[in-house]
Amino acid sequence: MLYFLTKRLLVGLLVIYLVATAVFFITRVVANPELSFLPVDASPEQRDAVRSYLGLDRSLIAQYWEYLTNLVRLDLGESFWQPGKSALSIVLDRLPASLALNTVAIVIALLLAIPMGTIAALKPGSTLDRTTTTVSLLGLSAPQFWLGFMLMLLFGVRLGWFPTSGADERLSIVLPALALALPTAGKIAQMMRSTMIDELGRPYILTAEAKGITALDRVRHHAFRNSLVPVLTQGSFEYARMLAGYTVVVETVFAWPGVGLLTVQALEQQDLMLLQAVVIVVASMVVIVNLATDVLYTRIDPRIELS
Amino acid sequence: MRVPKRRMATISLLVSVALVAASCGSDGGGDTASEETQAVDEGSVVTTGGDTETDASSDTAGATSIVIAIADEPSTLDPQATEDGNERAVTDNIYETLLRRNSETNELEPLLATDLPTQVDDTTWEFTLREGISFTNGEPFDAEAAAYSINRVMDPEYSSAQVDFYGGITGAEAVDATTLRVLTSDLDPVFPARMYRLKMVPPVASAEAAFTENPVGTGPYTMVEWKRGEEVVLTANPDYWGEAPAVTDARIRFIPQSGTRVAGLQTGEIQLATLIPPEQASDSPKTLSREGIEFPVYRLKNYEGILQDPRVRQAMNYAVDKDAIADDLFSGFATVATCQPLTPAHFGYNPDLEAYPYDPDRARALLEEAGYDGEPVSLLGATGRWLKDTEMHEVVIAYLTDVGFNIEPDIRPFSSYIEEFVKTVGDVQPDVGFVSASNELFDASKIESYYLSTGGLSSFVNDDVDAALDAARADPDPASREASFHEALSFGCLDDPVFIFTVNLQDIYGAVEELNWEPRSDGSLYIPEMSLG
Repeated sequence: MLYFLTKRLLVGLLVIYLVATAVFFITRVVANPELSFLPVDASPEQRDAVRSYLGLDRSLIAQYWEYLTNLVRLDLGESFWQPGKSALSIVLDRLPASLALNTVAIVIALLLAIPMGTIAALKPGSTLDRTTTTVSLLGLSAPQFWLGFMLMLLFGVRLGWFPTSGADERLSIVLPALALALPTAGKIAQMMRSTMIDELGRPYILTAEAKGITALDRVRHHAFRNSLVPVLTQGSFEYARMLAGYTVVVETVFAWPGVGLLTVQALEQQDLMLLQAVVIVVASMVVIVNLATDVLYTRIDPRIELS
Repeated sequence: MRVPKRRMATISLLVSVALVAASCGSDGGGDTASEETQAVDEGSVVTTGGDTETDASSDTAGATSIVIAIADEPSTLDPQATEDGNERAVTDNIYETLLRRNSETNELEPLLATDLPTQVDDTTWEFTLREGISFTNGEPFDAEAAAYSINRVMDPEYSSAQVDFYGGITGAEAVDATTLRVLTSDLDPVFPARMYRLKMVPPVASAEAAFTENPVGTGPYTMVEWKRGEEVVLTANPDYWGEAPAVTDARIRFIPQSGTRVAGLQTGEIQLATLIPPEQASDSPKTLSREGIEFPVYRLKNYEGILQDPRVRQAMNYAVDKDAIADDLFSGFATVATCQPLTPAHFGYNPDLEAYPYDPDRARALLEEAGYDGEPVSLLGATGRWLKDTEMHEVVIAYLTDVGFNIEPDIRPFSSYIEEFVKTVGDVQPDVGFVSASNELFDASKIESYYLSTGGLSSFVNDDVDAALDAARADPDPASREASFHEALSFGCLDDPVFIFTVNLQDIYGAVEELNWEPRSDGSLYIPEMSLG
């Protein structure tokens, strides 16, 4: 297990290194950072000052080497948008808000999806199955941007149950979490349904049925736990997808002060350093989530060994 | 169970559609309040009536706190470092300047000074300061502090983004406790106008690194907290030297999506929101607008190529229907520019100039006279940077093509656009280049960037215009200085058009019914001018 984790950790570091390298070259080669930073009527002197401040007047290889050595020391540079603040500290300040949002969202998604998928699987093809499948497909296919505004208009403006935006009140998390959770719940419910159907058709379940065990107990004591492994895979993948993407949209719509909103701010401010830090932190989080998932597998299914 | 399969799917789909439709409906006035739209007066402030069903009124009636939503978070709360409206939205309420602009007339008037500055000689200005004012940390505001503030912002080491705005200030010194002298490199008639933006900072506190997050001013509010990514919380300064503001507590929230800001207005969570797009204005309980300082224009290259003949550039101005752009593209939240990138509130505005009428036949005739025969005209534009920039290009190119121009559009994202646009006269410049010209100095000298042959963003060479602008630059006499600007603007409109002029955009704010406030020309969100009730 230790050997396995060390190996996965090293692969994770390699992933982070590759992401960091890609970010470096894409931002330096594709864009022209110093022009994007400055206002339209900036003077040539201002442009030169920014170039030397960013170290853009040196060779690309020299810049890359410095970037890597700084990365090892966890120095991701100073934010250009918020001068004097380290880019990494800005991202880490915002990370808890995003983790809280995504965690609430994945919990809601699982609480909705697992019962929905299970119920649908009990009688495939029945009205109940059709209904839950349609509902989960609807959730799955709704884009977060649109869904976010619809939830805001319905539950915020029309019904007045939840704040429309911000993070000021405890209930503020509900709407953004739902906007993240509903499409994810749709996907996981589909997954849960098909694994449960497979599982319920297995010989050991048929044996249990032959022994007179009720349908509810067959699901509860036998099939349920075995169906969870693929759901966990899907859930962890969805959690990583939220962190590395969907939160950007949802946090922007709901003005939720997390890393997703910060990504948009960094892009709008053309803050190269901050953007680098966001990408590297998010990549690290994804690596950690994957690692945690591997460990969780062994908890759910003792047959799985990490070696 | 053969038929119901499909029926169930249909029913679920219908239910979902109905849900969505219900939520869409709430976006207007709800089921009780009818969607009345009343244009109240034809002046600059337009009110659209609507939703009163929310309990916003009971929440805000008699309250002394306000929530203002701006689109983006400030980068710093050091009032001298950057040049962005987000920082100003907060610091305008914490810091003060020697002079300010009157909210109605836009005239300069004293604030921390007792009067407008007097000129000691060509390059020396003198202010007399109010006595007995302190910063909220206890540091006194005196001539030493004022001189320090001016020298701080001009210090090359500090590298403020505001330096251009303050022009040729070379230094400041305290003569005695209440007398301040400011030196300029040359005679600078615009000097007083520059001072309405220069905020006074406390010498001791501003030297510390934490100053960017812990503002300390002399103004009507102090900061309670800056929740990163979320909001800045302000409360009234109990020791404020001036009149205590009606609003005692304010939260300035950062909400990037305009739709979210409007939803917050509808529920009463927010009382005032900036940057409402024209098409969302009617969703807001109340809309406030005022002519702003942004002029989207198409810069024309006059010294070479197909546009060298002024008749071709005049034809371009006749070809574009400015009224349609103002009314349809910007839903009426824009006024047709009077052939100059200035409003009547700007010094040097030429009242004799009028917009080119929309006259495509005249445009075609001029093109024929000039011998234009479908030669390609390159047009550089940015997309996604300014309000409706892409739509604007589509409309303008259609109008130009309609009268016979052969336009070759080159529309790029900002970062790539700007590399091309900043090339100066002598380099390879596009025939036509879109830009949003703005003028927060409220002085015509800002047009030098485009009208002067050596201007930083110019593709225009005209000796007469150069001469007029050179004459204005160091002219101490306001009347003759104004006359020089009138002359330059007139050349740039009629004889030798600098731009395809389009419209002047209005700043659009959304507000709740209870908010009493008139937007300012300078775009400042000055909370002491607001009240609820």
